[in-house]
Amino acid sequence: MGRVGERESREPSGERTLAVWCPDWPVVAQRTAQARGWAAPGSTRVPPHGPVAVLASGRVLAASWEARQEGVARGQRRREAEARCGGLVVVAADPALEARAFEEVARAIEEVAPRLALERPGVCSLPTRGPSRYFGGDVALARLILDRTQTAGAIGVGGDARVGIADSAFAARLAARRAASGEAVVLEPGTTPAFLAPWPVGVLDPWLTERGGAGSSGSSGAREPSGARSRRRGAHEQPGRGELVGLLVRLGIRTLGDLVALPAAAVAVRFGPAGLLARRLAAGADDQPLRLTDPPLDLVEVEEFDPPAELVESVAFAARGMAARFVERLAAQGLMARQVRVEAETDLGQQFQRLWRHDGPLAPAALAERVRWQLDGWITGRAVSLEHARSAGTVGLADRLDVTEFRGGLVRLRLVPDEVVPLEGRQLGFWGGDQRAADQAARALSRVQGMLGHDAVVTAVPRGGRMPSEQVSWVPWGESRHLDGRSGSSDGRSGSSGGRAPTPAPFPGAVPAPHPSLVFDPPVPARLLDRQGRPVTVDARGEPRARPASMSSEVLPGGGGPVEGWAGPWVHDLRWWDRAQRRRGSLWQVAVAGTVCLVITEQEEARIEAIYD
Amino acid sequence: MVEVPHDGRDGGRERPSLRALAVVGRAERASPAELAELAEQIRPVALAAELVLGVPGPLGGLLGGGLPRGAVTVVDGPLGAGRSSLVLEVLAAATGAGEWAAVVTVNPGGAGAPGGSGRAGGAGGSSCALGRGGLGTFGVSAAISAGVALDRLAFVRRVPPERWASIVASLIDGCSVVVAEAPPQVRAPEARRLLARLRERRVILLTDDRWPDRSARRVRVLSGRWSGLEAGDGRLAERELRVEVLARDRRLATGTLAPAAAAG
Repeated sequence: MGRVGERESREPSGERTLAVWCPDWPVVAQRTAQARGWAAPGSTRVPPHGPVAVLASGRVLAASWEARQEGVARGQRRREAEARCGGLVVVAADPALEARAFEEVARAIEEVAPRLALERPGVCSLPTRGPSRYFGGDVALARLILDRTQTAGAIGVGGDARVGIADSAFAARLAARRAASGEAVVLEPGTTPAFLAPWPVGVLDPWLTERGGAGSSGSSGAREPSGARSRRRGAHEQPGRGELVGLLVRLGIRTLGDLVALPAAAVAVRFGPAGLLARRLAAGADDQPLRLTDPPLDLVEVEEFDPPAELVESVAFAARGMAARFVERLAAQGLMARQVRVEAETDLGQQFQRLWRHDGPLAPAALAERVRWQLDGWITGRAVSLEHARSAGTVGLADRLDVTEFRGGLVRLRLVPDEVVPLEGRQLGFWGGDQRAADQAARALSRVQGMLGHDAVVTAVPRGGRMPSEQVSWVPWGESRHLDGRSGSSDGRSGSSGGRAPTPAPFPGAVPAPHPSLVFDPPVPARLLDRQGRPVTVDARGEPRARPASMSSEVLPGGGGPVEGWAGPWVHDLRWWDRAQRRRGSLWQVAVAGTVCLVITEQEEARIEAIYD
Repeated sequence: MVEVPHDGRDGGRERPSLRALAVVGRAERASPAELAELAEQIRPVALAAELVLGVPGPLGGLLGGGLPRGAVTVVDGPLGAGRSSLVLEVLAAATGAGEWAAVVTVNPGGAGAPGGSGRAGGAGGSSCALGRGGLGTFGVSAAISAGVALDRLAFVRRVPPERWASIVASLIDGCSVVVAEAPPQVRAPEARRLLARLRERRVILLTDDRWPDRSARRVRVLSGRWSGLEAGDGRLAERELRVEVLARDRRLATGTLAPAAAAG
């Protein structure tokens, strides 16, 4: 069962990602707001130049370049930052404002490349395959996007954008971090693992932490309270997502390269699903294989507004409920959305949509927050931009606003799961049954895996096949039971149906029901003989040359005996298209020595495939 | 059957009722798992479903409703008579109810049991509950038609005989049904320790007649007769199973399972 190995060396899908990163976006957004007159009267004035720091829950979230020069750093307390830098202007973070300012940048990029997905204000990514081919390569695309963003809205006020292109979204983000202001770092295909290897494991942290609702941009967000879990956790238990990075560092695994050097099976046993995710990210593999099916329609969450909603607040309230239902409904199917499309429709028939992306589980509150940011970008942004455009007398801008800006009230809001992946690590009946039982089983089975090895504990996933032994894939416990569409059965869809056993699709040539309940893999050799003691064979037309009279095998009670009844043969031509390898097997059901066996014969050899036990 | 739970079952220092107050006091923040755990500790009686795994159909009737939890049940009978089907029915009952199950097969090449002897033992016709020393395993299609939820069933394969007891003990901590083919030798002290653990966790262990404790409850398949197979034509249709249930070598029940129930 080389499945572990197969999964590990997952081929790069050829899908590359471009990430745009605008550093210190909260500061840029505040300055934009000031320049555009969005800021509420009486709020702190943010100067276009000079030291500025943006605070979230008492800590520095972002600082302007000038403030950084003076030693202000992220995570400092307000007093500490003020002590280091005289004349520091301190403002509170406002994610809605940041989203509104970033909307202008997003629009500029969207003119070049579709399928832009926002991660948070200041960071977005897009798949490069189509646009790169159109604009003549990754480098040209990066150049073009940098040019567009240079002049776009808020960046013109004093921000800068950096672009990274790599084989995975995670690596693209890091590449953008490596880039200088207004520059791009483009990794050649295949060089991503080498690029990632020297980075410290700490960069994984935001990717592993579940985004809670309280997180504003850049902070890693609040984690779910896990009192019950952590109290029961023993010394050898698997760490949660949030604790993983600290644990890795304490164990001396300091760089991404160190982590990749560990065998995947060992990482899975010791660190659980979070460890596997971290290792995949560090290896530069996309964190989940892309599933190219459209999610079923009933997962779409729609809310109608009658009368049309004019205020962000009223829609945002509805969005909370929508987000909760959306996440819950996906989870009931064992799925989570990696990319969510927010669609809005106005009473004038305008339609808007924007992708939001987050790798890793997204809590309902965090999703609701993103919807709110987006609405802010559309609705509030529209009102103030129009005002600004009018007062500034910039006719060109006003013209563009007429075409693309949100007008009228919102009548419909839809949340569409754009990219859906299985809920990693927790597929085994987690949502079907009692969570406590599932947790207990998970702990016991991981312990046994630790004792016997990763693939000694397996679960059975049905798949298509003729022989009973071919009708199953053995998947090591803890790995995804979804077979990435490799199997011939319909498991990709039906496997997600909670606790119910998936029914394999009918397979042509399969042995019909009743199914043998004891299967030998590999089959056991036997001798199927006719009355004269010669092996029973089948002629070219599929008819038996003689009637089976006795069968013997070491597994049969008493070593075998006379045949009490038989049926068949059913002839199967295997690999008939391959002259060298083609074989013809005949299936028989033979009753002998108190058992009924499923026997396959090839030429003069017979094997017992299974027993109807 | 009423059982009064003793305080602090999992070694807790607090009295459950005090913890209940603490949790209820912050009820809006308590997770469902926490509440469920607590509910179990402060509940005055054990429900019938916690003492017996209900098995539906004629097999359940023969077993007197189901299998007792916290005990060993030995499944034996000749190969091919229908042991696997019976075990699958029990697994279907457990996994269908949202419980977890594990199937253990022993490595035939492990210490003291070279590959040949496992098979030779099979020729005797009455050893393992499933397969012959790890050679065979449940048919997945048969398991699905029996109603087993495969995503709550783990297979632990190639267990070395000398580690069998510790592996089974670990599984008892996590699953409510463990089906374990026994290695050639299970020592009596090991068996006693496993039994104590089973009782504490209320787990069912299904094993074969190598289990040393003769007082264990026993489900024996006497014969299984398939119909529909003629000499050269017809096809397998249905089967009639004769099963007896014994406790301490005393027969509790004997019965014939109707063809519909024994399909498999």
